[in-house]
Amino acid sequence: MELQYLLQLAANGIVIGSVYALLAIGLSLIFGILGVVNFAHGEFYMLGATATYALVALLGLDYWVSIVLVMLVAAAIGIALHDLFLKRIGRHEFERSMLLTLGLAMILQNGALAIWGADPKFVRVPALSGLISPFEVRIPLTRAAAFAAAIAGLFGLIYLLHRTRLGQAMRAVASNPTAASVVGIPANLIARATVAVGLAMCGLAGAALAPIYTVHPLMGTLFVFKAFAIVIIGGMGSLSGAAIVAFALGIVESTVGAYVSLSTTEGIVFAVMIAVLLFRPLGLFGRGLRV
Amino acid sequence: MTPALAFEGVSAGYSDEAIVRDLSCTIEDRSVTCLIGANGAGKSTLLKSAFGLVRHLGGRLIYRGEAIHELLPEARLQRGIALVPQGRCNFQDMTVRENLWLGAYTLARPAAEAAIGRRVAQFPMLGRKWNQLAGNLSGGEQQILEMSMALLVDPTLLLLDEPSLGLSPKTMNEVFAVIRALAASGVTVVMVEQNVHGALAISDRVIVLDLGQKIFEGPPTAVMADAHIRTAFLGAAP
Amino acid sequence: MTTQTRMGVVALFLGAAMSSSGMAQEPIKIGLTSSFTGTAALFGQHDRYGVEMALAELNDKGGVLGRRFVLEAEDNKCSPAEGVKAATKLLSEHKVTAIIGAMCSSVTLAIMPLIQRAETPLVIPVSTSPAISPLSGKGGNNWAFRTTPSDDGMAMAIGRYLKDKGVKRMAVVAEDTDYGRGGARGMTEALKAVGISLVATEFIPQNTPDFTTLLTKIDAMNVDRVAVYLLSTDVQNFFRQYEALGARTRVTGRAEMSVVRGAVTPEFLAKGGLDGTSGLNPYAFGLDTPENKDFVARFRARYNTDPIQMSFYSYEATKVLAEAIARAGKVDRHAIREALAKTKYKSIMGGQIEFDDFNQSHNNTIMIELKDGGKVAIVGLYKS
Ligand SMILES: Nc1ncnc2c1ncn2[C@@H]1O[C@H](COP(=O)(O)OP(=O)(O)O)[C@@H](O)[C@H]1O
Ligand SMILES: [Mg+2]
Repeated sequence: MELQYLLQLAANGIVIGSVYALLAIGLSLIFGILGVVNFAHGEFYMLGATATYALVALLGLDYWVSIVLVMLVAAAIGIALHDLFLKRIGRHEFERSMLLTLGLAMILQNGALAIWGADPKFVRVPALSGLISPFEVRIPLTRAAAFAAAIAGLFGLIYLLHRTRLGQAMRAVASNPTAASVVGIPANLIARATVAVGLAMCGLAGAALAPIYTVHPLMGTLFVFKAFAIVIIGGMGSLSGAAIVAFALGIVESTVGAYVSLSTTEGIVFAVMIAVLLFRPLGLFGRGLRV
Repeated sequence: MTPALAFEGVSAGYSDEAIVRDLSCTIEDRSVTCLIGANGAGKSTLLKSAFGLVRHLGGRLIYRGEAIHELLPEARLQRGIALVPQGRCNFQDMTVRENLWLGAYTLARPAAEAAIGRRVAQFPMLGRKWNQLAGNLSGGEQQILEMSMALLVDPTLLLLDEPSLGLSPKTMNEVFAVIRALAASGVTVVMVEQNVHGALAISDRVIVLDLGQKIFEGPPTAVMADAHIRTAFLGAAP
Repeated sequence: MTTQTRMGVVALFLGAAMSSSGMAQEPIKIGLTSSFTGTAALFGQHDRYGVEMALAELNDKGGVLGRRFVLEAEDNKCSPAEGVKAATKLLSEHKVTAIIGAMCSSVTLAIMPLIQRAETPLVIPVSTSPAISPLSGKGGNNWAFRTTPSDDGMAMAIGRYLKDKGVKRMAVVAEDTDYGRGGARGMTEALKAVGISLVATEFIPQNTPDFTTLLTKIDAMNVDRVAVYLLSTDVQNFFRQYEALGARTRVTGRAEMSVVRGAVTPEFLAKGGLDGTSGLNPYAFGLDTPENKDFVARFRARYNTDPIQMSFYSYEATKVLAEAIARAGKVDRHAIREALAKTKYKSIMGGQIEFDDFNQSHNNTIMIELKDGGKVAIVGLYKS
């Protein structure tokens, strides 16, 4: 019983950790390459989930097709976000980028409230109703699918960064933007592609979680605070750091939360973040776009 | 002979404020030009403006008859202009191999492979340190690496910003030898140098900058003859 | 006496006679403040429906003390600042005899000092915050009377229901807000009062996305029920993941069963996945008693919609106030206050509305359960 309980908690944590990782890595990627902290990240996640609702529940599209569509739409929104706003912000204009993305977050949140209302919406995927129970650990199929989608997203990103020219260029810009310009890497195109990829990850997270959670305008707020903490603890721009911390957080939250109290765990996350900011300002895994 | 590069009243800077102001000069093809001036005079800014890394605020920049001041850095690189910026400017957390491949970013794969092979043959150190992180190389080695990266595209105009900065006298001489060889092979070179004596020895022309403006231009001998410039920028008389 | 004087005397007599018969007397002004605009506008609308229906019924029978009622309503937008403005207007401009309001607890708390200073009775039909009672009656403000059960009272009702069900071990889950903390505290006291052991209390932030760990933990606690104090979105998210994980611990609390049912699939409901889930309501229009059926029929005839908690409690609060005025025998605020304190009013809910030392009434509440494949059933009335 005790071991099985622990396994159950660990399984919960790994699933949630994989989704934290998707969100945190997108955030970290955008920061690493554009130097912009995207405070609207959680709202794009919410839009991803809302778009999934629109496609699956309203238009009756296949869930898997919808995931791909949502990612594509998110990437397109990323391109627009870059070309309309982020392009105009320099790497070191932190205040401007903060005001801009925070403002955007509020507009998106209130816009969603105004358009769809505060009523939560449900995405139901009949194919994913039910549980799998390896070793008597109960894992809802929706969660298993979200985990699979998140892992696919993460490996896709690793492949992109290490096996493609675009990824190589992205890592170069993150490592040294001047040197990247000097070797002829088109900074603007790379930045645009980065925002597109980061938002596609948000879209994927939203689509993966839509069948698990209720979809509503405020669903992104708490998640994104966690993602910020993860990125700061892991090291701004360090993708591997973000991924490791995300999984660790998922597991720690669910196991510690089960043995101590859940609200304590919430506090611990932010206490660790503050400690890291004080004693290891570059994060546990340093800076640099590495996987 | 048409000039390789002509600045026509160029102003450039990092914001709306011009650092380089209304500067005009021509760089002859296949020449070596040395830019000198006090710290903060705007030498680096001028080189960066030629490559498109700073904001162009006025005037025209003509490269082999074509106005290029609106072009992005990658487009200028494609036209044969390459820059080696001041200080260590490579990918510190990547290996020598990755750095060279990034240096050849604009080349097709076979061409890149061939170009890298040529540079490794020219500087055997690169082969020896092939899998080391660039950040772990010595200052001189990093300088060689950066120049090699710039040369992968076979530039016709090479902009060098203080190539000898922080190098031991021995490495410095090696670097100057490389520049001399490049010039001999027909590459137009514009370099900023603090080590004026070493630089003047291999330059055809000298431009002196002060507060973002050109205050002198002429052959090295003329610079040495100008008492004011000698005391202001060249230190004690040789 | 001259003829003129005589005529004057007759006129005076006639006037006095007319006024004592009430025919020409001015009406009694009742004030209502609630949230008529903003997110709580629907609730405010029902507040007004309840009061208007009660006054209309009273006026149809000639009012009280031979005087008719008129209503002055002022919007407070569920904002304490707006509430103070609205109350000031009712008190000094309209000079109302008594006020009914103010729906949102924060607004009620804000206007309580005003009505005390103005020595004007306030009847509170909808605000359920436990913070109101300790300030009323013996608590200092003897002009404020609450007819609705407080959150604490409703926790007591849940406790009584759980005792009936033979529950021995409980857990509480609450959002980390005033609402959740207050609910958890009330539940803790109620369980202590009825002798049920509380195994654990968990607070979670509002908008918590993931409940799996919580649900796993609760199932592992081996409790008979978990009392949940979450608000709408979180409630739905909670039950959604409850279904996905196949959680087993039955839930009780204050959740609306319609909201709960909407969060899960019909199949899950049909196979009894939520049977035994319960939620306490201050009022439910489905209550199958002759008194309530009559009330609902009259309400529907008038407004073409079903009454909700707000309309019902505002209706009864108005009736309680009118009845106190009648007993006071004169439209005098002090006399009305004293009459209110001695209220014994038979509620449609079956309970007796009478005020304790803290001017708090303890009317019945309705426990609703999901049964037989997710069907909604009223399982009993519990005193708050
Ligand atoms: N990245 C930058 N942003 C803003 N101002 C700069 C930047 N780099 C240099 N400057 C300013 O431009 C002026 C010229 O600098 P620079 O061209 O680097 O001088 P030099 O290379 O001649 O020493 C200096 O006043 C310097 O402060
Ligand atoms: Mg310089």
